[in-house]
Amino acid sequence: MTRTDNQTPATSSGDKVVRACPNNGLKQPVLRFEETFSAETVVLKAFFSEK
Amino acid sequence: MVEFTKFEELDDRDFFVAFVEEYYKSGWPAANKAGGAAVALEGDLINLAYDTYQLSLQSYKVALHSKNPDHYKRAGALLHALYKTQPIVSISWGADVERLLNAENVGVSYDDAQHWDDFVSWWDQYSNYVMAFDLAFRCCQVYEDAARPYDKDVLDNMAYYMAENTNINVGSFVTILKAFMAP
Repeated sequence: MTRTDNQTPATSSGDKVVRACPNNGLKQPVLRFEETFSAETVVLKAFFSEK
Repeated sequence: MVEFTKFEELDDRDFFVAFVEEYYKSGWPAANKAGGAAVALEGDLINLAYDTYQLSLQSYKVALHSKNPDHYKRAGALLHALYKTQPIVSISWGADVERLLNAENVGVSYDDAQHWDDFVSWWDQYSNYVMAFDLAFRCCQVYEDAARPYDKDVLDNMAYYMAENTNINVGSFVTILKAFMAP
């Protein structure tokens, strides 16, 4: 797994960090919300598209 | 119009409540227009969702050196909070839909009624889960390099999974989102 946050030190032995929480930090956003895929598209296609 | 640009914005209670409320009510303009459904939300439940979301984030922060959970964890915590609190308390349908649901009405075929019954039943049963998944999935996608489309099979599976299991934890949602998005 690639670490996305290299500023913070890696976990060393004995640290109280569970394996389910890899030490990744929040990255910078890439897309605008409007550019993301919405379930509305799925619903329109499933229920309201021309057959 | 409340615009989401990054997860840090959801740490503000007023933004969180306004964003969720607006998205649930008008985030699907085309589908709402075609389907004629209007949802009613309970403000106290959205506030409870904020508290639940923050609690999950804090749980992650204490285990992270960075003290800054990544977007999978934040989106998972958001999905979990909305799945737990279920802020949609009722759905009202327009008069047209009520008419189309009954094949005995003039001009309504059996197929019409069947089709609308499918949609109304699906939305009545799954609206809270579908909206929660959609909102969290979209917020998560903001941090990906491209949009991640999916089909109705995925949406149905997620909705059914949430409807049938009342005690899904944050980690399960994080795993699902990460498995779907991560290259």
